[in-house]
Amino acid sequence: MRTILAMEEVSKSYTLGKLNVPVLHNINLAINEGEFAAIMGPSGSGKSTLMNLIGCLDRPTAGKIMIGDMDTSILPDMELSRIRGKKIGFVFQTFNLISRLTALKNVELPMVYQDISGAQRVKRASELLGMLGLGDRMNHKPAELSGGQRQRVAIARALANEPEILLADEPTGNLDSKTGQEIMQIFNNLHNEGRTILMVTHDQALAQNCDRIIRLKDGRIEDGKYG
Amino acid sequence: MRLVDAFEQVSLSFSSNKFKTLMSSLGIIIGVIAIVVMLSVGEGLQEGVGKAFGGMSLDVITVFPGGSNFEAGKFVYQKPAEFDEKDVHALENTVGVKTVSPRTGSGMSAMFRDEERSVSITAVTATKEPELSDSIDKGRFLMESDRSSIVIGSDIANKMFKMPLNPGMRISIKNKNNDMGKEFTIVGILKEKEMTSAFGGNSNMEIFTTHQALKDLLDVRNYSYSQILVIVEDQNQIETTSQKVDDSLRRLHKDEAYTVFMMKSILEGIGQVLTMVKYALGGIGAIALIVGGIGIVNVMMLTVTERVKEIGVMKAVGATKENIQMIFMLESGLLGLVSGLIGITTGAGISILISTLGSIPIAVTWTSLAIGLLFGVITTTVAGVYPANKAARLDPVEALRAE
Repeated sequence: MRTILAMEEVSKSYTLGKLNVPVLHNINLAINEGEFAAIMGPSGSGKSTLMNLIGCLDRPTAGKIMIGDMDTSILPDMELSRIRGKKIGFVFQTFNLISRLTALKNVELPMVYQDISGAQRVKRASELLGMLGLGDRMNHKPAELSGGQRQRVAIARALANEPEILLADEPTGNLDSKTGQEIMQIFNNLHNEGRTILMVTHDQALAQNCDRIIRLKDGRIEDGKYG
Repeated sequence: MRLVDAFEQVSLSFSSNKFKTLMSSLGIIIGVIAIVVMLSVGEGLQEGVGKAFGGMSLDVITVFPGGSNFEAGKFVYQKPAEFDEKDVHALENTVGVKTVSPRTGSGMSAMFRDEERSVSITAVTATKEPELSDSIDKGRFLMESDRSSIVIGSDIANKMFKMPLNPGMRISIKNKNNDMGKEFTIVGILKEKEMTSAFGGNSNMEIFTTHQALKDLLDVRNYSYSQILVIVEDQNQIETTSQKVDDSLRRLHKDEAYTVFMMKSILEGIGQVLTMVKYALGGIGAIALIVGGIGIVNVMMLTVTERVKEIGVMKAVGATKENIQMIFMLESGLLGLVSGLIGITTGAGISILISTLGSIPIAVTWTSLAIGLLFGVITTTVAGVYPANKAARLDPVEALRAE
């Protein structure tokens, strides 16, 4: 099985004024293609920081992060943007849709930055929205959609450029349990299609769905074995 | 990112924020209006003055007796020079001089039927006034041998007396100082001159005759010329030639006062003042624009702050720094273009309105419009640089965390 993501001795610390605040210590982690992994841990344990590092939104203080065969810790900003656009799909807890754009335009956005033509973008975006059951809501703005619908738009957006890794940061955290289960079902389906998914969650029951649970505590991986 | 897509994103942000967009562009619109109106007023003034002095020949040096002589800052009285045939000769032999035509002016009274009017008579050398002889409307021009012929301006012919005057009619002209009077025959009427200037007098109200005829009327022992018109060969050398004219005359009139005068230098002076006025007015517009530009910086900074989270999302889904920069630069540049277009249209409208209502000469030129538009676009684009860079440099993690 191909390793899609490998972290070697990754540390991350922030400076708060003169104070050095360590967040992650010597993280070693490998994620294989097609894996569905849950990241769990109490708040402040470094889950979000870990996601930001994997998603190339942030750089590690030390260590190497390999996505495919590229070490993202040393890539220039321009290349990081490219990787975020092409290889990573983000799903956020608060959806993070752009409120003045319609569902369709929101899904098109990642493709805009990859220079994909308008016609192709519309085709791909409407396919994705159709697949997620939003075929009739494409021209609605986020404010006109329910929480579950918004998260589905966000998932469609994350899938727009066929990313190698889907990163979901508590995707059901802002949803009621019924809607949350619907969203989880979508992730399960995506996993069954062979996608690689990393999901931060607080919910033990949701984590049980995954191939593997990575537990973080105080910036260290406490337990990362396959469940 | 393709330019059309950047345009689409910008236009979406405009249309979702119509009020803010309008308010932010108001400063620029007013600035552009100010520039266009100011430049148009300046241009109009220049054109108006140009028209007023346009009839003046720039190749003429006028010499006349008298004038003030300042030496070492002190006024020195000198007897006014009396010009005669010797001076004409001397001037004709001066390098750079084409023709020399002496004139003598005098106030007289003219009588036609029972009407008596004050007129001004100018005696000329018939062979040396091509400009006058070319502008004969009816009849003929004077000949040197004429002793009782006159050529009259169009206003004298048509407006001075109840009955319009025509060639062949006779009027009597009298010198009130010595009661010398004489019958004159009108031999020609001059074409109406469109513009008469502050300096040249109104040639439509002039009566021209020969020196010999005026001599008879004045009946003085030393008849002298009140003015000598010197036409130079090369207009561009007029300053040099004028110096030589002065030198020639100084030899003949050592301690006498006379003035060598060029219309060209006056015109240049006026031109310089007008250019200054025009740019000063434009400068006021520019200040308005700078204030408008600061307004744009403010609004763009506000826009960036408002959209921090959005910028974070854009970066998360693959936008580069350059993409973000382009979107914001395009947004402010486009704001400038639209404001500029509104500004120049309104500015042109206001200029035309002022010129119609206030009958002030205002000329809206393409140059003024282009300058207005250009300044509008440049100001907003420059104003957009800092906010756009700020947006582009936002840390995506921080930006996503923003509320």
